[in-house]
Amino acid sequence: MKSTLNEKRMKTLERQRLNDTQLQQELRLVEDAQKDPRRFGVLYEKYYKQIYLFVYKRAGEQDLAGDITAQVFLKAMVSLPKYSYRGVPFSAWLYRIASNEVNQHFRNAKGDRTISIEKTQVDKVMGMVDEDKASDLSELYLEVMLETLHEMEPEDIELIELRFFEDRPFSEVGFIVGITENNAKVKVYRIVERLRKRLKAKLGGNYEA
Amino acid sequence: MKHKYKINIDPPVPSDAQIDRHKDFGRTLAAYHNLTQPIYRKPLYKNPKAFIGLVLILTIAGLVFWAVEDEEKEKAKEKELMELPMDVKMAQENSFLKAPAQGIALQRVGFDIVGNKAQKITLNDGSVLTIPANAFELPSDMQPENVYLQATQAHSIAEVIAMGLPMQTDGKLIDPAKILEIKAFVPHAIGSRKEVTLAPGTKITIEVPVADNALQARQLFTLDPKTHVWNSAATAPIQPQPKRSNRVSLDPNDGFGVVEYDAKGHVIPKPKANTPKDEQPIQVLQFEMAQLGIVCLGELQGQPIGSVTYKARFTDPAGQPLRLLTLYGITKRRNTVAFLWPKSADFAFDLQVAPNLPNSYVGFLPDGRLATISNVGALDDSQDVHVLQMQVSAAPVKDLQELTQLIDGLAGL
Repeated sequence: MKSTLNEKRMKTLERQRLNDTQLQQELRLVEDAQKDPRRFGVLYEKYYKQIYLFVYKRAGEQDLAGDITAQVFLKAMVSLPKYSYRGVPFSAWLYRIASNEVNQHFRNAKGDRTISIEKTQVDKVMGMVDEDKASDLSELYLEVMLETLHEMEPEDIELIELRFFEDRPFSEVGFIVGITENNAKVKVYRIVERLRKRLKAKLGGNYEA
Repeated sequence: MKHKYKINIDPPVPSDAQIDRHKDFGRTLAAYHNLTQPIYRKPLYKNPKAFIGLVLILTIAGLVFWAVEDEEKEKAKEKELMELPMDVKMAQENSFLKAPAQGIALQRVGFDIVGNKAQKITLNDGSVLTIPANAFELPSDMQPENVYLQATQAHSIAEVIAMGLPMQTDGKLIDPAKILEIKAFVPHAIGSRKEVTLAPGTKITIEVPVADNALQARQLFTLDPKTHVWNSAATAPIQPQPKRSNRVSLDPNDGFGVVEYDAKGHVIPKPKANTPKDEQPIQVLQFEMAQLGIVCLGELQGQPIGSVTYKARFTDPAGQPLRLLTLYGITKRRNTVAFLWPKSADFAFDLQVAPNLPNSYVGFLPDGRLATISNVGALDDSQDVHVLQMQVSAAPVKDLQELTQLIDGLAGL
C-alpha cells in the first residue's frame, strides 16, 4: 500500500510526543550543541526528515525543499546560542524557523505558495465541520475546501495546515505562527465557521460567494 | 479576495533516499563556519594562502606606490622649474620683495636722541633732519631720552634692490634721486627695541641738497607701509633753499652725527672747518614727513610700462630654463629699476622697460647667484616666446658692494 503524507505525519507526531525524560535528553543535546556546533549534527540527523517534509509540502519541489531546509538548519545553528526552552519541543522552534524561511522564499521569489492536501484529511476535517454528517460527499468536501482555501489569507492557510493537516496541538501552532495559544484557537474556530457556512450554502444550493 | 495558491492533492511523498540526497550536515557546518568565522579571525601564520596573498598584495601596492612617487617627483621637478615657491608668490602679491642674498643690506645710521628736546641731525650726504620736541608717541612708562632714530638712504639701483622697493606707480617708473627711510625705536626688552610713531600733528622737516637742474622735475613720494604703493605727495612743500654749502663730510668735527644742545634745547652750532674758497652754494629742497617711513624724491618717467606684453624664457648659457626668484629691468642712463615678477620659467610681462633704449635684466636665483643679460633690444612681435640667455655669477652675491659692481658692470649702464 502506498504510503501517504498523512501516515507519515502520524508517525512523526507519535515520535514528537515527548515525555519528560525525552525532553530532558533533548535539552541536553541542545546544550551540547550550544557549546560545540559540531554536536548539532545529532539534532540535524534527528529532525532533518520532518523539517524537509514540512518544507516540501509548502514548496512543492524536492530540490527547492532541500535548499530551504539547508538554510533552515544553518539559521538554527547560528541562532542556537540564543535558544531557550519555552514550553514547546525543540522541533517547534525548528518548524518556526522553517515556516519563516518558506514565507521569505516566496516573498523574494514572488512565486505561488504550494498547499499540499490529502483527500482523507479533507474528509476528516469536513466531516467534523458537517453537522449533518452526510455520507459520500467527498467530492463536495474537496470542492468546498478548495474554494475556501483560495479565499483565505496566507496566515490562515498556515493555521489550517498546522492544525488540521499536520494535527499539531494549539500550543505548537501558536508558537510556530507567532501568536498566543488562545489566539490560535479563536482563529481556527473562525475558519471552521467559514467552512461550515460555505458547506451549508452548498448543500442548500443558495450560497453566494 | 481570491489568492493564488498552487494546490497539490495527494502529492507523492519523497522516499528516504530522495530526502537523504539533500541531507549533508558537513556542508551546513562549513557554511556555519564561513558565516561565523571569517578568514581574518584565523591567525595569518595558520593560513599560508592568505599570508602569501597578503604579501603579494603589499608588494604590488609598494611597487605601484614607488612608481607613482617617482613619476610625482619628476612632475614636481618640472613644476619647480615652472612655478615659484609659495613664499615668493606671497611676496609677489605684496609687490614687495627683498633680494635673497642675506648679505645685501644697506648700511643704516642710528642716533640716540632726547625725545623731549628739539634737535637737528645731519646725515652723511648733507641732509638735515629737524625734529621738534616731544615728536614721538612714547609708551607711558618710557623715559623720553631713550629714543633711537634710524636713517637709511638709497640712491643707486643696487641700493633700491637691496631695500626691496618697487619703483612703479600708476604704470610709470620713478627715477629716484634719493630714498630715505626714517624709523624711531625705544628699548622694549633686553636686546630688542620697539618701533614708535610720530605724535599726532608732529612733522619732521628734511632738507636735502640737490642739483640745480633737477628742481622742477622732482616730486615727493611716500610709500604706503601696508600696500607698498608709492603715493605722490605733491602738496608737500618743496622749496629751494639757496646759499647752503654742498660740503659733505663724515668728520664729527664738521657736525656729522654729533649734536649738542644748549639749556633751551637749541642746537649749539659746531665751528665750521676751513671752507674752500671755490665752494659754490647749491640748492636745498625742504619737505616734511607727517609720519615715519619711506619717502622718495624722484622724477616720474614719461613712458608708461606694461603697455606691451611679451612672453619670455630666461635660460642659462646651456639653454636650461632658470628659476628666478626676482627679476629687475634696468634701462640705460636711467637710475631706476622695474620689478618684474616671474611666476614660471615662461612668463608674460612688459620686457621693454623703455622701448627706445636697450634694456638689461638682473635676476636672483634661489641660491643667491645673480643672472644678468644686457642690451636687449626691440623684441620681435612674431615670436611667441622670447628666449633670453643670461650670464650667471659663479657664486652667490655676498654683499652690496659686489652687487653694485655687477650691476654697474653690465654693458649699457
